Parts: sequence; structure tokens; C-alpha cells
Amino acid sequence: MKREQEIKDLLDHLQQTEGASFEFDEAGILGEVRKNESEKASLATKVLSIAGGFIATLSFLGFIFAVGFEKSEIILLFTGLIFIGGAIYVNKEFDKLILDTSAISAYVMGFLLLGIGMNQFKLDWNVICVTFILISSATLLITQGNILSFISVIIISGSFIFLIISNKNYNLIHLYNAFFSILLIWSYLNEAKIITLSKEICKLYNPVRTGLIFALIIGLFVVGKRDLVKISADYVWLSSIVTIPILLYLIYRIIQIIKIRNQKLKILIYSLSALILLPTAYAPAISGALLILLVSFFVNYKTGIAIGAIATCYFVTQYYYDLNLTLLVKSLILFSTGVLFLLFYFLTDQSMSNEKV
Amino acid sequence: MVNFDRTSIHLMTRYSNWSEQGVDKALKDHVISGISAWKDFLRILFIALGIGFSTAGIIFFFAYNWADLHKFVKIGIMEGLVVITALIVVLTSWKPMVKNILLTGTTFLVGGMIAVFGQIYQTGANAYDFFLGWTMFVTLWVIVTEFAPLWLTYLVLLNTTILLYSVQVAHHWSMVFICTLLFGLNTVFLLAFIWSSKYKNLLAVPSWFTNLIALAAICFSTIGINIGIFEDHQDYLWLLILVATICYVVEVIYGLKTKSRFYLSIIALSVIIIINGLLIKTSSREGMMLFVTLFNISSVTLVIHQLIAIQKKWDNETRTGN
Repeated sequence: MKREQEIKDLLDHLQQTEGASFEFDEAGILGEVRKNESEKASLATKVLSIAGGFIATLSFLGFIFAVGFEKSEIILLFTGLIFIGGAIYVNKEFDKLILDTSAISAYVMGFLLLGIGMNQFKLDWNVICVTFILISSATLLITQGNILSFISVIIISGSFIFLIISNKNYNLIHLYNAFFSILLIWSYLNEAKIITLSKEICKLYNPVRTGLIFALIIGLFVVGKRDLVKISADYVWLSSIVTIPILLYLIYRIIQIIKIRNQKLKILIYSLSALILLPTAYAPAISGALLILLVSFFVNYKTGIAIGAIATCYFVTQYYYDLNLTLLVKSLILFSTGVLFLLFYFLTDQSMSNEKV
Repeated sequence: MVNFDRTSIHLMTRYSNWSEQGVDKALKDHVISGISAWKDFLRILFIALGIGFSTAGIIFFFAYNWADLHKFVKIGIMEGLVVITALIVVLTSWKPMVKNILLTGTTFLVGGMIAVFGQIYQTGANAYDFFLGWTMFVTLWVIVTEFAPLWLTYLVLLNTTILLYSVQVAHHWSMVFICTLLFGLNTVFLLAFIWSSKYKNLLAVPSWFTNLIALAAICFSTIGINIGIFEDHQDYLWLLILVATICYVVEVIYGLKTKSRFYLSIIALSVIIIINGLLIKTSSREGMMLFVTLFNISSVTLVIHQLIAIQKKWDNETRTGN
């Protein structure tokens, strides 16, 4: 009831500020408020339904192999499609929190069955991946349920990665990273534009936002962990062509927000940032993770901040661990980077206390 | 004074013709990080990265095999650094956050120092006594500092010491016993942190930290019990089951009392995984696998259903309380 009152107040306020042309569907809004009130989704319940769906899928896989179903391709294809269709139907028609586990399990099991079945038909992996991408995209169009959309984004990006790896076109991963970095930054910075497009797109915004982070992390992991796939070392910097300029653009936006007007200081900040970022050209995973961290903080998205911070720590460690230099050179690079950051710290501290005066 | 959050902005956008400019303004005014948030964030980010990288640089510097450097010089410089940074923390009036991060860096320097010692006297770098020494020498700092990342570092060190001891020295320890030990250790710390923060108000403990310890403890009990189920002749299994049962009950009561769905969720998941193990142990034929699948879906659904019901009850309580 408290929440309803809050929303009503907000609507009143909007009517005043937006003027006469502002129209809204109060019944619809309050209906959703009541529904959310009765099933407040916390992160704990979301993770629980995903974990539940995951272990259910594992045991189901055990069942398939115990029965020997993996050899009867028609049954597999058929049940796979039924499972996916059923999951989408349940999600679209009911969209209830307690049905999430069943929908997720059915959805993922459906893809699993479909994949095994198509493989039995001796279909090319490319065909399977493209089918997965098409079905997941269709899911996004049909239903905008929270977790199902998130999983669809993961399946789409995972299929793209699989396509790249199975075709041994490893350098295409840079195109993947570029695509997802740009998509991520664009969708994060244009939230207002995107959510006002349509009701469906607005509902998709949150799950896709989380999905994009994971999609980018998978791509960064492929370039960030050495010898995971055979990317030619000479072209590793290709991903950085996109991530570093995006980071510099973000720094530009941040400077606007924290209102630094001193021209000299600005130049100093840009050159120090470039100095820190340029050596990471050969480690695009680091700049990619930093990008996730900064843009998530920019739009105040807590989950993204946590994932970005953990990813940054991981990729930095992984990079120095893999680095083929003597410990002495490594230590010099690390120490000078540290000093640069400390310099940044004192710079921010100084400029901010100056402004207060 | 109106107060928008992201959820309500999204909700209203869906059911109205709110203009893009209006939404953008609402987001800018109420949701996205403003100037003061950025200042705090950048300060912490830079000081953490600065101290982190510098410490790593120093440790790598001494890990390099300096043939020319006399061992006294090597250890001397390391010890000097530890002393200087510790003195800075004690004597200066810097901001507490900076001091905390600096002391965490110093904690890693102690590790580097012991590693240099091990290098000179050939004790081996991954021997458990390296971690034992490291853990012991930083204990005092961990106790006096109110800083969750440092506590986390300490707990990781402690767990690593025990794991390495069991692998390198105590070969006769069974996996179940190791899991029991680690479960007990992390649970004791969890209880201590909860007790001192919630009931004694001695410390400010962030909930992500207690949640993380609880998660670690429950991982150990779940893994331990499942290993016990699949391997015969496990002496400590009953002990682990007994301790785990008591702890689970206590944590469920605590979760209900403090209205934390986190504890309820992870304990439910742990119990479901253990039941999975029991079921598969009795039979791994096709009928059982199908049953396990259905059991997983229905049990998780039931748990979520219960959680929603509990949440409703809590909401009603706070409302009537108001």
C-alpha cells in the first residue's frame, strides 16, 4: 500500500511537470505494483531458480543417457521443440516467479535435446548454432520474461563464440568483442531512448543489460586467457581498438559530470589515462573489464559494478601471470602503474578539495 | 519531494507516453551516479589500484632472483617497507579508508617478505608453513582493523593454510574430515562476525562479507556430505552431518529472525543437492534420474513459493508495525 501511494505521488508529480499531453494507464501501473508487491524478486530467488534449473538440467541429461534416448534423433528434436515452446508459453502466459524454475529448466533442456538431436542427424555445428541463435532471438521477440530473456542472450552470445571457435576463425573474436562492447556502451548510455521505444523493449531492458555484461565477459575471457584458443598473438590488440577509445569517451563523460573545467588538468588526465591504457593494448580483457566497471558505475547498476570489479582483478592477474617477461620487468611495470594510480588519487583529492574552497 | 528509482521509472514508461527527454531527466536526476558518488568512487578506485599495483610490483621485484643482493639487504628492505607502511598507518592522520587499504597492501608485503625468506633458505614457496607464517604475522592487524577486504584476505589465507597442510603433511586426513574442519572454521568466524556486529555493535560488518563466509561454509558442508555419501567408511561423516544440521537449523532461525532470504536460499539449495546425492546413490538408473529431475524442479519451486510467502508475511508485519 505504501508503494502504491508512492507511485501515485510520482504520477501526480509527472502530470504537473510533463504537462497536458501526459497520458498514462493508472490501472496497468497499479496492477504491476500489486503483482511485484506479492512476489518481490530478490537476487537470491533469481539465483535460486537459475541454480535449480541448472541441476535439474544436469539430472535430466543423466536420464537421457541412461535411457539411451541420445540415439533416437526424432524423439529428441520433437521433445526439444516442445520443451522450448512450453517454456516460452508458460513464461508469456503466466510470468510468475514460482514458475521460473520450471520454465528455465524446460528451456535449457529443450536446447540440450535439440542440440543432441541435430548432432545425431549429423548436421553441421554451424547449422546447430545458427538455429540456436534464431530460436533465442525469437524468444526475445515473443516473451520478455526476466530470466528467460537473460538466458536467451547468453545462448545467442555463446552460439556466436562456438561458431567462431568451431570454424577456427579465431580472429573473429575481436569483431565479437567490438560488437558487444559497442552494444553494451550504447544501450547503457541511452537508457531513456531505449525504454521509451515500446513497452516490450522496456521490459527487455533489464535482463538484456545483465546478459550483455556476461556476453562481453565470455568474449574477453577468450582473448584474456592465453592458449584457451589459438588467437594469433600479433592481432590481440585488435579488440583494444574499440575498448580503449570507448574508455576514453567514458572518461570524457565522467570529466563532464565531475565538472573539471581546468584545461591543463583535463589534458593531464587524458594523457595519464592514455599512458595507463596504452600498455593494455595487448591485453584487451583488462580494458574491457574496466569498461564494464566504469559504465556500470556511470548508470549506477550494482550487479554490473560487482562483476566489473571482479573481472578487472581477474584479468589483470591473469595477464601478468601469462606475461612472458622476467619478474624484474614485470615488477617495474606493476610498480610504475601503481605510482600512476597513486598520482591519480592525489590529483583527484587535490582538485576536489580545491573546488570545495 | 518525489523520489524516483529505476524500477518505478521503467514501470511508468511502460504504461504512459512519457517523453524521452522526461525519462532522461528523471534518470539523470535520480538514478545515475552524480558528482559526489563519482568522487568517492574514483578516490577508492585509484587508491586501491595504486596500492595494489605498487605492492604487487614490490613483491615481484623481490621474487626476481637477485644474485648480487646480499640476503640481509633483501630481507632488510622488505622488512623496512613493512615497518614504514605500518608506521604510516599508526602515526599519520590520513583518511581511515586510505589507511585500511594501505594496511591490506602491507599484509601482502608480509607475504612477500616470508616468500623472500623462503627463497633464501630454500623452504619452498608453496609449503603450508609459508601460509601459516603469513597468517600468524598479520593476525593482530586483522583484529585491530575494521576493514572487510582485509578480513577476507585473512580468511582466504587461513583456509589455504589448512588445505595445504592437509595435502602436504596430514596425508591421513580424509576429504570429509577436511571439509568438516573448513566448515567448522568458517562457521565459527561467521558466528563471531554476526555476534560482534548484530548483537554487540562492536563492528560494522558489511552483509556481502558475512554472506560470502556463509556461502563458503555451506559449500564445504555440501561437498563434504556428498563425498561422504559416495565413499564408504567415512568416520567423520556423522560428525559433519550433526554439526551441519545444527548450524543449518540455527541459520534458518537467524534468517527468519533477521528477514534475510539469503540464508534460507543457500541452505535450501544445499539440502536439495544433498538429497540429490542420496537419491543417485540408491540408484542411477533411468527412472531415478527422471525422478531426480522432477524432484529438483518441484523442490526449488516449492522453496521459492515459500520464500515469497515469507516475504509477504514480513511485509505485512512491517506495515502493521508502522
